[in-house]
Amino acid sequence: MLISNLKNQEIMKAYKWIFPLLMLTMVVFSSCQDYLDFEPENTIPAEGFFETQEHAEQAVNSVYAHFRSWEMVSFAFIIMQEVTSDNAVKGSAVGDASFINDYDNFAFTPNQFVLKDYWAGRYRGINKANQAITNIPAITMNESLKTRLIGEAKFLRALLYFDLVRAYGDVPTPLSVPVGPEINFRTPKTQVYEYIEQDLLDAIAVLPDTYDAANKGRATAGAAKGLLAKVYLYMERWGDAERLATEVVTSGNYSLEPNFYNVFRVAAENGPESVFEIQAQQIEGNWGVSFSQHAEVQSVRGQWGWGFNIPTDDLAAAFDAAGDQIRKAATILYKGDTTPDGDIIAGVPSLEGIEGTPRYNGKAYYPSSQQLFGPYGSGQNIRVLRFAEILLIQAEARIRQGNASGAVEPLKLVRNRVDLPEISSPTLDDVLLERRLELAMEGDRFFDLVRTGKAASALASKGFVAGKHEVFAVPQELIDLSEGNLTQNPGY
Amino acid sequence: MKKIKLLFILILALGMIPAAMAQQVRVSGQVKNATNGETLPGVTVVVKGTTSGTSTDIDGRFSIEVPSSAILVFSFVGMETQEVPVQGRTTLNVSLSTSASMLDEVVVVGYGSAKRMDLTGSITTVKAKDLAYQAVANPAQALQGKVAGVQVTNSGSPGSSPVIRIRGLGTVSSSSSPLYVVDGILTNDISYLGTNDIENITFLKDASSSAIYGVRAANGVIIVTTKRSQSREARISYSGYTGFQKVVNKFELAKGRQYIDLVNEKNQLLAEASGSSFTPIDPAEYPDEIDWYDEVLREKALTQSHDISVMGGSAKSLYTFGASWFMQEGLVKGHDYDRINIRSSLESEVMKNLKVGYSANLSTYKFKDVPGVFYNSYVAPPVFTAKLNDSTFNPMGSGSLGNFSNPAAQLYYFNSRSNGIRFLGSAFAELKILEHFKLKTSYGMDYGSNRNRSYTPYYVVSETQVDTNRTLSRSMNYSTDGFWDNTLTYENTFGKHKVTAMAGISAQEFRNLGLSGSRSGVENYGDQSLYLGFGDQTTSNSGDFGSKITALSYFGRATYNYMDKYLFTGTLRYDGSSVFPSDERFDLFPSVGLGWVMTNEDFMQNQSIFDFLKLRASWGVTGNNRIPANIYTLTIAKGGELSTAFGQGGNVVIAEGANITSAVPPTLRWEKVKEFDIAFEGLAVDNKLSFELDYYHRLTVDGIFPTTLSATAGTSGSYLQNNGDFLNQGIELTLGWADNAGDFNYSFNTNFTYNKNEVKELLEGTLGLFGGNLPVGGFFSTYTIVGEPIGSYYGRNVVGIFQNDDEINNYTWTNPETNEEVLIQPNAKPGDFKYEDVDNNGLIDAKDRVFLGSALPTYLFGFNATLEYKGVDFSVDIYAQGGNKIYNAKRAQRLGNENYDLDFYENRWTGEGSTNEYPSADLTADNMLPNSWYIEPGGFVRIRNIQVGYTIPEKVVTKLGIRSVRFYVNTSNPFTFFKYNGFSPEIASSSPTSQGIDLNVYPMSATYNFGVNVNF
Repeated sequence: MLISNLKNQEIMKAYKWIFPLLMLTMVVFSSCQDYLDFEPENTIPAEGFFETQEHAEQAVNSVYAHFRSWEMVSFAFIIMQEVTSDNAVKGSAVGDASFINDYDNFAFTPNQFVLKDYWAGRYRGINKANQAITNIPAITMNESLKTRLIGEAKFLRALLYFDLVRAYGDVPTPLSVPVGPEINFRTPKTQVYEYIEQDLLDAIAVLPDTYDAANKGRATAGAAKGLLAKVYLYMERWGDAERLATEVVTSGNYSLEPNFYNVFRVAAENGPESVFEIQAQQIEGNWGVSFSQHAEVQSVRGQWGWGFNIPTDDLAAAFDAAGDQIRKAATILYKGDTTPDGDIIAGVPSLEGIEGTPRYNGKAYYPSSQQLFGPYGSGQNIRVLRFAEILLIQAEARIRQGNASGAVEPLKLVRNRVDLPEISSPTLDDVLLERRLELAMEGDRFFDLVRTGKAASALASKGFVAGKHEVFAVPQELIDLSEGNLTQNPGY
Repeated sequence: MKKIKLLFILILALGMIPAAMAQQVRVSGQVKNATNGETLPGVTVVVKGTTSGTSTDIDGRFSIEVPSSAILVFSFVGMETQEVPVQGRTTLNVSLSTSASMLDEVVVVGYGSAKRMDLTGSITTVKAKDLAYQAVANPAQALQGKVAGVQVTNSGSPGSSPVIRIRGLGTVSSSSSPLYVVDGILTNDISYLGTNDIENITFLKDASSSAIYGVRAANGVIIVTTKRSQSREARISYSGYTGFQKVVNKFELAKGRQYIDLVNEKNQLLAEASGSSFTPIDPAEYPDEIDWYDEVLREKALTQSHDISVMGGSAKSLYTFGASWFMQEGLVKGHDYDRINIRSSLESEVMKNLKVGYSANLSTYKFKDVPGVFYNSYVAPPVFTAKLNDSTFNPMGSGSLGNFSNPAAQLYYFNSRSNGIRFLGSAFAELKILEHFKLKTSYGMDYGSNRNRSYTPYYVVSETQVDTNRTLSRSMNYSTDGFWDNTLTYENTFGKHKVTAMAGISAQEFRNLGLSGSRSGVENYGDQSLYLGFGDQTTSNSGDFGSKITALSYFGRATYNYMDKYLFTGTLRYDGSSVFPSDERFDLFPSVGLGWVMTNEDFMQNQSIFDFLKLRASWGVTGNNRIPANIYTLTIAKGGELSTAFGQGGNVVIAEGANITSAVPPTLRWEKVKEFDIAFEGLAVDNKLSFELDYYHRLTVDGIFPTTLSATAGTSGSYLQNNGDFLNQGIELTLGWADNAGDFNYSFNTNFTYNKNEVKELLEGTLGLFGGNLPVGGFFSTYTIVGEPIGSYYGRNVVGIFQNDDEINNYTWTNPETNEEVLIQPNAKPGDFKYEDVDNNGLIDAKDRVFLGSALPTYLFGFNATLEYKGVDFSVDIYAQGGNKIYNAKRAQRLGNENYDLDFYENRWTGEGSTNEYPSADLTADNMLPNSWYIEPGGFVRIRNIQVGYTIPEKVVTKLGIRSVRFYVNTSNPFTFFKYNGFSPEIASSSPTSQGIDLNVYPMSATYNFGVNVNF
């Protein structure tokens, strides 16, 4: 109707214009596909990764690096592996991160986020290790390096699953990428231990005993054997534990650092006593590599760090009862102490959870003269397995098999270093006490108490309920997301 | 008789005119503005009853061949239409008078303009004069209360962009700020513009109006039109003001002895609870008294602005030049903002039918930043002097009361400067094809570059307030956005049918690049020595980033008007963006609007109530594409924390790490807003009363909401997906009254908005979203879940204060299974909060959290009155908002002996029976948990602006060769009335799930300025 109002010639004139315009539009249209299609800037697409030897190395390096992360060695670590035990309480200022007290008195519920942090941190590491283990075999590269890298990744994965199985019992066990529905189902604890054992056996078969200077700190066969010996303690395979511990002891690659205080200082890192350590460095200008808050969260509050995870009077009393002043001095830093490195511990007037003199975890102490860059103390390697522990594993495994006299020598080595006399006929309790004093604040006490069945008595006053608190609650969020396929531990 | 004969002849002569009609005559003439005598280009000249016509050229001249008996219709937007019979004349000079009716006002509508009468959507325009006299760095800051449905939250920091929400908050994970279109260029920020650069600001509020901007329009569109010359006559004008800002409603804190008393009370309670001994602090040890805010705030912060503009034209061209300088001191000492703008535009008719032009705005700014001193000023013990002597800052007891930073020192040692350039410009060519088609092509460019230099000098104030690294950081970034727009417009009238159509294509590219570097060990020998090269090479750190996004859009609009009674507008936009995966990056955004001008119906002709009454309804779809870039591409994370170091001692080697650490969503698309709007608008009482009443229903569908991933997969904790529906619905009412009594002119305008926000739906399996993370304790204070507004406060419910041990021991719960009676709050002590055991399980835990209100206001109110009498003018603006809550978080961030506010000091619990409202001074442990006590009403009423002006009588100034002179005094925000216990109830936060959390808020200030406008 409207068009009819246009004069015919006007329409003709219009066509004259409209046709070229349509042509122009078509041209613009056809070129538009390219206009929107390009790889996004500032990204490295995942396609194209895992193709070269360099990629294989980078992937495994990233698993090592992961161990420095917050969930691996900072809050979740100290809260679930130490504050829960009789060795430590929350510390820090009253009210600061008060949820930590829920772990000290076993009042946490499945919604408490630290449970998820601990879980997520370890599975993130497992994902990285699985990326490497799944993808490296197809890469064309130096075959011996390939085998070694896969061995390293398996060692690290075993370490991660060892944390998980100790903390939660049955856990999902994704072993390759991409993950499938298996992440929503729990693998029985015994099976998890078998996976760990297999990973470590694989690692033992391929990893070297030592590395050149530039690779010092990577997982060795000794580290895998030592870890497997420890895992066998949890599996109560005493003979195997003894055999592997003995292999490490007799390998000649390890010895005790003469001075106990020095064990935890930078100079002794990757030294003769070191079986496996999480590598940490302060490299000026390189924030990423210098990042770890393991020491910062535990360092002297008001002076260097936040002052969490502080030793209890109970631990101090245990040292005193054993006449063990050397390890006590290195483990518990009291306000007013002067360290061998010349720092005076000042800090704040009081800390939550204790009465009397504020004190801090001496093993996380980092001399202020060494602080260069990054969070306080981030240059300190985190000790995972020390030769002293291998000796204690050997001793325990022997006693467990009725060979108390075989435990004398390894115990003697550990005790003589700190000027304590030899025990001529050691009992299991002697070894377990030795473990407590030697390894205090290093993250083993709670798991040791549970493993040896002593948690219920040692932690009853804190609220530990037998049959429930041997394992932590599975994070509620994961149960929800699995639509109930992931089950909760009893009692929660 | 002779006379009668003459009459006959005359009638005969007139009667012969029809015969002469066949005769064509060429009529030419000039059209002028009756008000100011300026020529009017672009006036439509049509022969009545036909479609043939022409329009006036740049000089307002026209020439047309018509039947000598024809009647010519002269029409021009904003002017009264005039019909003039030709009566055989060959020269016709016409003067059009400005239309008194707002219905003839021209409104920009996105790739075009329309008469207000013809609109079918919700569009509001704010004119320059309503903004220009306010002393604000960013024109958007002056918009508070001006437009119904628009919430403007200012942060008080100079030069900062306010948070603007149009018709509520419709997104959780993307940006919620509207799209700005400045002279056709799409941008996210107008802080570079001076208020004097602006002609008007138009809000496209409903989806039908904004859908023409497609995937970027979901948060509403604000179109800014800068000043253009309207006539050939040269005009020079100066406008300037100078004034100052001053803190108002200063919130008092505890001081001196009051603080010591509070700390002693707190520590006594803590000691009693743990059974340890306690020695109170002796107030005599701390004889000093201080309000730290006085140390960091300026008494008066100066501001000034000067602007010169020149406009005019020559035979075929119109030009505009302008330059302005604006400076503003912040309220905090050392906070300075300075900006220079240069603008220019030219429009020229280079050939018949071809018009070309450009406009350009170049702005440079300098900015001295300050640290966030407000939090420190709040918590620092008020019992010290700021300095020990002229050159030494007070270490504040060296930690005797805890490790606090001296705010004065913090400010003194902070050194961060930024400067930058922003260029917005475009060039266009417009070709007139045939009579009714216009083809326009334009290329626009938005270039910005910013540089920042931050330096931390060597300082040792106390053991903890110390930095000896001398770190210098520098960063630079460049953004270059380009727009190529092509439109073809058709406009015609066929008798009773008025039709317009527009089709267009637009290609857009956004590029961003940045570099940063830092080194320690840079000695300060003055600013000229602050270069990275002078630092320690081993501490060198560098980084860069870049991004590129392209977009391609096809769009069109058609309008149809039948007899000014029935109106139709339809738009379509087909948008594609490289942000999205290639197989689904395009989407269609349609809209439709209908209008019915009831007053033009026959049945309304006999009523006299309404001069104009229109019912309009519209529906449209818009998108929000502002999701983080590259989200769907699986990428490698490399370096940084993924790297490790091996080796020992002198043999440390960095082993670079890389891996696939993330997971990407299978699909992720833009959010869509589907909005329905229905409204009445009109004029009544002889056009004196104007009114507009809108109801809108604005539903965000496919709202982007995080999907929590199983932590067992070991990838990132969540990714974004289109999981949620969010609803905003509300009512907007705008009323205006304008009249005069002799020389006394007055007008009143008021607007009222009610909005209800709600998360309507989340995809099955989507967990709620916690937000509002508090620094101490890491508690979340908000929760976003179906049925509640976005970012609702979530915490424990306080039912009272425990007055004594008996109350604690009586607050019990009986286990129904074992009949065992347990204390609900066994760790409480008198003076603590008594929390409601909501889930009735004998335990106060995370499950006892309830919704405690929302930071989103439910109503907004704006009012303006303007009075004018013989050159004296007066105007006042009032703004109010309410229904929202504020989380008074600064009260609860306690690690030790932080200071308290005076209100708390005066009302705190001091012992049994003292109060059941406020807790004791011990706000630690469970008292620190997010709870209802920290939630306070956030409503306020504000006198937004008062202005008195005087225009010198014309006859006085014209003798001096001046057209007009006006002086004025203006005050912004002189009074604000509110109940909230804080510095300001205005808490600006751009994060949708962390709204209204008061931790470090810039104090409120009033601005007083004096200005003058001169037109030559």
